[in-house]
Amino acid sequence: MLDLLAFSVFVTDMEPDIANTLNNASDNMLAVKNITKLYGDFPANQNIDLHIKTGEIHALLGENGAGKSTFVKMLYGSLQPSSGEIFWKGEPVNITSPSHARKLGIGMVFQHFSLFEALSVSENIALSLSTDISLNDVTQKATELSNKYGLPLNPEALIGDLSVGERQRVEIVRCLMQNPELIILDEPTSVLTPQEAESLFETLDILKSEGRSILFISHRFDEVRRLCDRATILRFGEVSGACDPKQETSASIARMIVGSEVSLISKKAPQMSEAVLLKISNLSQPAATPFAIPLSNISIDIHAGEIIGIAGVAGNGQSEFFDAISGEVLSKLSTEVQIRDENVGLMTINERRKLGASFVPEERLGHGAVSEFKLSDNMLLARHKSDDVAFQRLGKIGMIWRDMIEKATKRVCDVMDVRKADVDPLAGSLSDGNLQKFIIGRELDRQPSVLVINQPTWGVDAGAASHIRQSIVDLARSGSAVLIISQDLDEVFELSDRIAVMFDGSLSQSLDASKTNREEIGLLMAGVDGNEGKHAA
Amino acid sequence: MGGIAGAAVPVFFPEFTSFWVLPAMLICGIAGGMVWAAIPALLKNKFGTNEILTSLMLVYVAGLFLDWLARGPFRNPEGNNFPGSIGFSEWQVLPEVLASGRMHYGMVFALVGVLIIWFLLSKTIKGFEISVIGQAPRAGRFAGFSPKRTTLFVFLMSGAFAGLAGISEVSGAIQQLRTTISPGYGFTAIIVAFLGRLNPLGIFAAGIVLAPSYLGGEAVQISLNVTDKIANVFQGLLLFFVLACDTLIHHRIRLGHSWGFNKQGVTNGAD
Repeated sequence: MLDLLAFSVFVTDMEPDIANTLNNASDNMLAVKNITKLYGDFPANQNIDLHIKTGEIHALLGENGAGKSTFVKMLYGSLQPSSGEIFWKGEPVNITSPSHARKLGIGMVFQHFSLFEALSVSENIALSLSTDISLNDVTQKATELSNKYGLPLNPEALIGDLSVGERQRVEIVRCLMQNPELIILDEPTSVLTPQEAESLFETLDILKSEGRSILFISHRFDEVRRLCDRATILRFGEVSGACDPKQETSASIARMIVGSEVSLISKKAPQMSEAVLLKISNLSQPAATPFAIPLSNISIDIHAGEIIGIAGVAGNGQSEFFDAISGEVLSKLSTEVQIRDENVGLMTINERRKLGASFVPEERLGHGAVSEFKLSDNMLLARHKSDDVAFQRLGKIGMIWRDMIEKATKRVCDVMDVRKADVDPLAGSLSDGNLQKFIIGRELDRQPSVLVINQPTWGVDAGAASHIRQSIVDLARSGSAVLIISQDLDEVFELSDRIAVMFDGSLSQSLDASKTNREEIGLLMAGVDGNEGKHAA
Repeated sequence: MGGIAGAAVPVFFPEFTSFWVLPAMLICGIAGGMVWAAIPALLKNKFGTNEILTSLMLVYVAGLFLDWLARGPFRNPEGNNFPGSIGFSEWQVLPEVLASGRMHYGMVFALVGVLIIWFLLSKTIKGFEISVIGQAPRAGRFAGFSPKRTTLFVFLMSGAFAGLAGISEVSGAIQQLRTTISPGYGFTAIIVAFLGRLNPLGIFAAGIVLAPSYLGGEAVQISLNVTDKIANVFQGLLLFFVLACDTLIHHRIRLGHSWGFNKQGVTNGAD
């Protein structure tokens, strides 16, 4: 009972309190002066100056490895700067830990969610709060916040049942529970449909109108231009520019980020051929775990020379679909998956590889590569069987032929321009972009006739992404069939010749990429079949 | 279990004395170890049980089974009712190396075993498979390795070596099946494995380092009149420090504020 009392007093008391401090605060909510962070001798951040005004949405842009995460971690207290100062409302502060940051009024929503799938929304929120608040109070407060900011949530729902967009709302509500004045959002829209992103922007506008500040990290220039008041651009750990994004074009922002003109990928018209290299027919699969998505009746043909893009919001069966094509999960019938006219539904992943197929899974570490392994070992991981002639000797004993593997690793790194500190570093030490270049290069090096990639450039910086996309296009135009599964609509439109949308375990008809548009695809992604009329016709 | 299976040969066929009896004993020992080790592997593959718990519990089952055998079916009829099998004859005893006194061929087996495992783990695809499955099962599936097959393989392999160790001890050092063939060697082996940094060659060195602690325990009991359990205490401390060291190298301990809500706001409000 006491808890309840204390809590309600807190709820009513804090709001005017915040308003006061906001009114009294100087123009800059947060100012960072000359901050440097060294890892050994390597400066991850160097002499960064940045200030965030009260009530503004400030964008932080930069390639992966440009130092954005390092910078944000220092603001949130999980890293300490090597030198330089942080001023919070004009006072110099030394942010010692995330809980200290929260006490100051800095909240953060991470790109990767940290929610327990088996617990309910309010239980997840309660977990991050101190123990002396009852679950009922948390539920009540969370409901209040979600109504106020247009973040509809059912506090009793299990996280496992929620879409990615809804999970993100949980993260945001959880962050708002701390009543933060500065909210840091790390690539919040990378997993949302255009419609979901739009509603997130509305929420951010409300927060802004209350005088809260937002630091918005994103790769998407159009969003930044739509939403943000100012932008700071990082490059090689230093501030390379600041601008008013509304005055810039996407191309000019991109130029500041990569330091040179981003080369748009060149895409010749597809040399359509009749040969179907990858054929999925009536693929259905029950859910393997309570949180998996069952697949129902998926059919699609991929011809030699073309790229098919599968759009869709994450968690609609994409990874289950990928596992079924790759053979990590076997199908019920051998005819459900065909590679080069061969029924492979019951074949293992290595037998499918031997038929000329290559696969790149979504998760880089722990699935496509092992972080504690060197690159050469990761080369062996995917190709020990398909390249057994080159990589193994002594027949049955299967002795590993190190020289050959290291040669292949070097070849891939050269072709894909993988930047690394060592000759053969651990996979976990590479940046996302470089690791993805390596993983895709590892497969391209085989000249596969069928390539299936789940999220080709997820979390990868602009420079690496355009390199990867160009090599995917080149492979397709040389006569291979390519299937990409991606949440990134820009990417899907940039690469694909035909687009299909995955929703709730089933796949829409494929649409000609040149004849459809983002709205149509967006509706399909949200489960509204905008094509009903056309289907009937 | 290896010791039991191997000792079954001389117990049931005391007349079988030729050059071939020793290999037969060793093979039975290896097979016994493999069969016993297959149980936790199958349980894990079938029901997803934790292999550490099941194998640990099976250790006690094996110990009691040995006890029952040594007092019951395997007991030496001329042993004045003392528990224990008949003593092994010359052909059934693992010979010494270079007339060294006590060092029998088990030592050679250990060396060869270490070399085999080292080669397997670091030079072959099979070893690669084992480390992939151990580090990242999902990546193992992507590589086309079967976690179940690997689990079974690793358990059979380990069981074989444990069985070989058991029969070597029974046949080489004790030369009879007794209720007390192992003063907790299996548990000491855990310490040895961690002390050797889980590397086969390191484990060999760690074994040599740790072996004197058993002898030292007895010496201490004789000369200082303290119990030889003191050696176990030291071994335990050693493991504790090795593991603590790893933890402290990778993690930083911080005492301080709890993760949390703006507590100040709550208390101020309540006031």
